[in-house]
Amino acid sequence: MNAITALKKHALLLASVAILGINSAFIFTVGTFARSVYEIFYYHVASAWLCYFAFGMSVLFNFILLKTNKTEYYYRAKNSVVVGVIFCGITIVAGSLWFNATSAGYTGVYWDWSDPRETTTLVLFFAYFAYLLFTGMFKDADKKARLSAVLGILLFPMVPLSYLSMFLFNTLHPLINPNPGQPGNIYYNWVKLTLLMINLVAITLLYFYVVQQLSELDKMKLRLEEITKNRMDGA
Amino acid sequence: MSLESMDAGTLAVVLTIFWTVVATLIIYTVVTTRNIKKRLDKLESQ
Repeated sequence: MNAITALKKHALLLASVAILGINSAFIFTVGTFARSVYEIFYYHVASAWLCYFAFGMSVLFNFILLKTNKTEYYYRAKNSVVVGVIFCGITIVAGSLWFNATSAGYTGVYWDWSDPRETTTLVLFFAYFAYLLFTGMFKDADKKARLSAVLGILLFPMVPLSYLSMFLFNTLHPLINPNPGQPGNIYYNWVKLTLLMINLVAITLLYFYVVQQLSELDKMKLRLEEITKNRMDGA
Repeated sequence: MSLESMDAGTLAVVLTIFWTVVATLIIYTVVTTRNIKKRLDKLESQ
């Protein structure tokens, strides 16, 4: 494989990492907050966005899978959930550290079970983690794909519940509101918003790259298993 | 310890976690795909 082919193959990855890296330089120069800990915002929100986006894409792939019965979409749905769970984990950890730094004022309190945003996001994490365990329970590929698709669709309402929890219930989670001055809001200007948007675009490109690669990987693993099994049967 | 240094420490922890996970995900994806492809090509050529 020559350099140009390799560059084309990994173009999404290179673009994503380059944008994330360059954007970081701007975040820590022109996008700073009065307290540096608030710069977690750019990474916490980007991770949360990717978590919701990946779960949203997985439900879309699950519907297509049930309609077309193409295993290709099972891999895409499952790998979307893998990415979603990873970034949901980052969101929870980053949010928890941020909580200790701001709401709890470094008193060593990282979690508040009475906060609906934290609790529903943790439930979302475990629900989709359970989905991944569920996909490993079946030998029959077709049965696994279809049942996993059904479970993936059934779990999806957890996503809007987690997102809307801060509007539906009393929460400690700050609202992102473009009107500065309201208590509990994160104040930002268009520079900060642009930097955040760039992070969201970059991390979304990373999602497409990783899901495509992991799905290829799953297909190759399956092919490898088939060849090995055929050879053992023939021996 | 001052508030500024605690803030900087917390930010550093979050950034480390974020970039470590992103890097691990990328390295796992690229390296494993390459290795499995090599094995597959070798088996198919035999």
